[in-house]
Amino acid sequence: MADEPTQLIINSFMDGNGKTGTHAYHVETDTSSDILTGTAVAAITPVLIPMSAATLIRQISRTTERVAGTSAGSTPYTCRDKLALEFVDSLGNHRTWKFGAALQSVFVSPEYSQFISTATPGSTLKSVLTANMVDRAGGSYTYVRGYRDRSRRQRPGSKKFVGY
Amino acid sequence: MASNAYTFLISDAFKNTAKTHIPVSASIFSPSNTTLQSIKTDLQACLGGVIEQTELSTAQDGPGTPSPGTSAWAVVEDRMVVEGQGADNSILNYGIPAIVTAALNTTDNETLNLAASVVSAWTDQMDLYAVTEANLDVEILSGSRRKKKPMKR
Repeated sequence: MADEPTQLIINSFMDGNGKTGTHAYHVETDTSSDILTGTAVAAITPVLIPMSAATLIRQISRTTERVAGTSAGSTPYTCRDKLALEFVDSLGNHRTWKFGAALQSVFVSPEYSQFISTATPGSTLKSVLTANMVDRAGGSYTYVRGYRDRSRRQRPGSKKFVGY
Repeated sequence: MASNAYTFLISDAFKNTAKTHIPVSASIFSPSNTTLQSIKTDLQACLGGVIEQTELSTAQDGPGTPSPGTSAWAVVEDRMVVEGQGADNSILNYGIPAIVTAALNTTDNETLNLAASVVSAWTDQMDLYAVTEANLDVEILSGSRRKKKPMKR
């Protein structure tokens, strides 16, 4: 039981002056239904509301699972050297997601910052994100471009560059 | 739907970490979820770092609508703090913003009355459903009122 992840429920209240305050608690993970509409939250929320003179305006749930016994990443990859993937949503807004410690093999070469989107593993990641990400309107994202995002220190020629 | 997201915590050999939030439609957390597993596997294949933590966050609007100015005395800094004890003897504090008068002892209107029906209804449900972060049972023990010093009503 203790190894199961728990779900953190955060209730956000707003008072008459527009200030917000929060109330949080953990419940057991429900892997069969949406926790915010599940048994525990449905039982606690109606008795929580009368205890506050402020208004309950938002509920958030967070479920975190740590991977047991995770080994550290391999050198010389660092979280400061990132793969950036840019997408456009169904409303025309551009958004970029960055992934730290990207493998050298997803880029054309250490000297260039071009993402290889047509061969694995980069193409597979691009496809799975395009297929599963949803925007604020519930629509899908379209892939625009990928590039490398890193500081000058991580670039070849820098004294700090550790090489690949 | 649009507020739900998987968050991946990536760590490198230098013990640096980076988080990335991927917006998804999923609202149920299950480690074996195929979408989660697909994203995790394909992302890990592109990384020299390691995905050491996965998180699903979901959100929904509360039942109330904010209406500023309707209750000037109800300020979120005037809180009730209830203390609970986990089965591992850990102590947890549950703060509730903008305490209501019905939760206070009528003798002094300052201290929390755990026997008040509005409070006991909540503590009963918390005893049933609340757990510690390590998923151990929690028992509600005591409570108090916390407010800023100049705040009186």
